[in-house]
Amino acid sequence: MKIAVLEDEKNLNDALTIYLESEGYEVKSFYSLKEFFSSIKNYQDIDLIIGDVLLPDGNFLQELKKYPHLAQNVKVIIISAKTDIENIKKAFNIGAEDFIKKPFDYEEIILRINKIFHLKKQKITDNIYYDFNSKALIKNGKNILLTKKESKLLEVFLKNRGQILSADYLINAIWEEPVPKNTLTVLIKRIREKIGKKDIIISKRDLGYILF
Amino acid sequence: MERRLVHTIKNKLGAIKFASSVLNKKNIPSHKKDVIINNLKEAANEAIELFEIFSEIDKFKKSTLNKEEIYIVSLLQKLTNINLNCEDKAILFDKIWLEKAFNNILTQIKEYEIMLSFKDNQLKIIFLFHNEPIYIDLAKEIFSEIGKIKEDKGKIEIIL
Repeated sequence: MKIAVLEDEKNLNDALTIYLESEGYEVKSFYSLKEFFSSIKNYQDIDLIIGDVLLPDGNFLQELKKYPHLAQNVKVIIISAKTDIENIKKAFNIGAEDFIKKPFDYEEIILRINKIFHLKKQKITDNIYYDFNSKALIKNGKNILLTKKESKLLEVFLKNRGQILSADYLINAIWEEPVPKNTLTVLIKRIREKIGKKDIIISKRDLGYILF
Repeated sequence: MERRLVHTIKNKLGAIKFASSVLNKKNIPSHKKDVIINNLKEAANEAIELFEIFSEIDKFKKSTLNKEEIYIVSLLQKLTNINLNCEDKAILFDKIWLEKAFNNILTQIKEYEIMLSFKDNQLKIIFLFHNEPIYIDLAKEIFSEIGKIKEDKGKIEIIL
């Protein structure tokens, strides 16, 4: 998912950007309306804008009105310390999906993003997530599609994280019928390759496999 | 005016709190943490500066003014070290606070030009600046006691 952060307070903008990147999102930062509206056309694939209302060069909500196409196609979360009802009304009237009162907690941002996009993501490692809705891995903000069997196996591991699962248990959960153990080994190898970390799923001799 | 300053201080502190909490996240690479730390140092200094302005405004409001005759053009000439060619005007005000008001503007502006005009017993001082002065609240508070101050993009106008 691609996110544009529009915030003039450098400290907040940079920290928010770094945090969102660490959560696997691709982020583009903007510090002024001029910078944002002059270059947003180059980022047609932005999914979400997280923006402050009052910037030194104008009001984001008023400017956004001039770009109805943008407001209709991209989700917007307003972050503002101006929390009077008129300001909140303006934000929602213009099509904002959510309004977050400053100061906010970093976890709150992720909760709101997930709610807006109905996302059910689970973290696998730093920068790698599994999205239960799209059955895809999100690696550094990019989607990596999994086959039906790969996603099913990864979901079994994620639901039983930290537990050793026997080969028979896994085969039964994925194929629901006996298959050669080599078939399971190949499937696990493919998942390790797609995640890009060999030791993400460990093989325990005579016991089975474990996802850390 | 003071409300806006309080809002700015709250905003700044909120950003500091957020950035500090992000520093606790284990999966943030160290070079990115360095960016946050450097920003935090800058933001902390700005917050202190804002508090100082807030405190100065508070002191000004509570103080008893020691009024004396002050020649504005001469004072400005002394503060800027620029030879200002304009008819001077005397006002009755506290010299220390008036100097603080001018300094609040001058320290905010890195590069500036000064234009002066004297007409109908009104002295107009215009500062044209090349950067955005953001914390001139003390100057606004003080000048509002003795004249008018107008702020526009690239320009601060004081009419005394």
